[in-house]
Amino acid sequence: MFAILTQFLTAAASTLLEPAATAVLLIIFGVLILIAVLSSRAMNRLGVPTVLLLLVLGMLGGTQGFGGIWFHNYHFAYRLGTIALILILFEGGFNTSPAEVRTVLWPAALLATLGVVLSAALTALVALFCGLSMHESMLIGAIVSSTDAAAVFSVLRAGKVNLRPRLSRLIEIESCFNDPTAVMLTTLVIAIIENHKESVGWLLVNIPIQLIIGAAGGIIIGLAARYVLRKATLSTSGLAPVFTLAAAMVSYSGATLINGSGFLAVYLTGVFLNSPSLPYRSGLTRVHAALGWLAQISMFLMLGVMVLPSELLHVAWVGLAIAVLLALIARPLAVAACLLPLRFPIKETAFVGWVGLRGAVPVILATFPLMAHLPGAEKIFNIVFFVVVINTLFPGSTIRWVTRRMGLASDEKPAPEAVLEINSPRPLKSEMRSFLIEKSVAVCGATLADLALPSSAAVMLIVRDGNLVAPRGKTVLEAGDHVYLFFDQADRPLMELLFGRSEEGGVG
Amino acid sequence: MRITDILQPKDVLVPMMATEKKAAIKELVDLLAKSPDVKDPELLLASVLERESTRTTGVGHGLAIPHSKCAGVKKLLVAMGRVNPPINFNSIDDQPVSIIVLLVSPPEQTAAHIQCLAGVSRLMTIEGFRNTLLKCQTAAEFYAAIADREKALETPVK
Repeated sequence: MFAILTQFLTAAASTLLEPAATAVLLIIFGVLILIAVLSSRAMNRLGVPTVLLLLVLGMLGGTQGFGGIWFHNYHFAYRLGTIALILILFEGGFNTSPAEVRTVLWPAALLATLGVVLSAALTALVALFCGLSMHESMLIGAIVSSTDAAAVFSVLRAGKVNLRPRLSRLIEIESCFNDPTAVMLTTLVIAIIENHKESVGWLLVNIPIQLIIGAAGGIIIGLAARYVLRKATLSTSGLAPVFTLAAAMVSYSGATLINGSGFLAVYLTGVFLNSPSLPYRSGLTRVHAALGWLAQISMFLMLGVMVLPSELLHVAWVGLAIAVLLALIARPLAVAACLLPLRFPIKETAFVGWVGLRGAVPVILATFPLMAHLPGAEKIFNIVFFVVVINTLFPGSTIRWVTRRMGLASDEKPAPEAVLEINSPRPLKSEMRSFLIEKSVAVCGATLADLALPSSAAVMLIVRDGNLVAPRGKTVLEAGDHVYLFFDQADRPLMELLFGRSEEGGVG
Repeated sequence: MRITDILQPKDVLVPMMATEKKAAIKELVDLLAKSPDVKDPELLLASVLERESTRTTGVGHGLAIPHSKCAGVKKLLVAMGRVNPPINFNSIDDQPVSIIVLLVSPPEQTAAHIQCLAGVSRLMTIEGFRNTLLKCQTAAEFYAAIADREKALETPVK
């Protein structure tokens, strides 16, 4: 029955006229995305990154699967991949504060530059050892040298790995910082292979220049966009995410066009655009999270569709060997060389070495040689596929176990989610937060009159078992209450001391 | 309410031996456990760590105020100490902690518990005073510095 249906759909896609042809294409993608969304929870429970499911679904949708979608336009793939990565990096930046970047700036920067070059070189050696040619080895090394923000966010955030904050921050920020280096390294290797001697020297000098321009451009656009968003009154709140999306696009392309790293720029724009007092904040967070997810899902589905399982078999052993050696030797060594001199604890260094999640970036980079029509480019694309799958599957599915085993779990429980959202279209001078009252916090069991809050602070609302409770002096705070309060920003430490951790996404 | 009305000189520890967060909390719990007002030190330690797991009490500027309401104690008790070199407390400003104030009370004394907590926090937000405390070499100097400051504040910390 299913086979008949898919045959019908496949036939329809190639013979039907519009609008049916578009409709058929969209229904296939729509159903694939639906399956991916609905099964992500189950996959997470099994500890398998959702990314993998998407790849398999994509393959099922592809030429040799049920879907029969024929898609091998690499230029289009590059474009789609770039757009997806912009959305993912922007969202990653938006959820990271400048202060958080600062705490792990040096280790992340070292991993993103020296670490990438080292793991590229080591992987190239491994590939050479596996019998590939010099050029192929160099290309593979460069293409798979960076970890992937999409995969990292999907595993660390959606997978509910309660890792120590400093470590998860380092791994996330590394994955956002290191893409530019990998892009430039791949361009460099292609220039070497095509024997553009004059451009090789220039590319080497150019790497730091691109990083500096990208960083400066990204920060400037982020701060400018924040300023505009705070000052300008938009005619409707629905335009706020459109504005931030436009800022992300301008940031990437502006930096790219003036010889900067666009990926670094768009990430930093996200970092500097957000602030606790940003108008429309919780709405923006939500829209960009949705866009980030859609981008991830589309990209991995696309990758799955592009791969021909029959072709994969030809490179299966080589691909597997390189993937495993990258995970077990190249990545850990490169990480150790970067972090140990910074006196990073050995345990944490080993952990970062293990979590070398690959994903979208290598796949986008693998289209570079295809677009340059280099010999063996198809083979490289298929090998990259293996490397991505293995290096997402193993670290991704073991990360929770390894985190617990190595004792690297965070001391604190993850922040609970708010039950009620309060949105402000204008920046407010005071802060507004919601707290879930746990039995252990100081205010549990106290009456509001007992709280002795500063004069600039007050409890506004209590949500108890789905009921809204009016805060009066005699009201007693109970465990499980969601308490909404406003206070002066300077009093935040005192509020967290009394109320515990504030909830996520409640107010902004 | 003055801190020195509750804090006993014997419950000040300068310097502390601990080099990490849990050990530091345990060191102060053990100090209080010598008093007959602590019935169950283990329960007390567990409850302080439980509170710590909801959100760090490292409130920034090198200060941490671990606390809990626990049936294992008979009345409101405070212990203080200084660690040198400063230790990681997962503080909200990511800075290591040098001054640790442990505050515990029975569950029913919520109001006094909160007022004392806010009082300690308010006292310690004075930067010059924190620096004075950091210079103290002995527990006696440390206690005297707190007593002096509270007197100097004229209106007692309430």
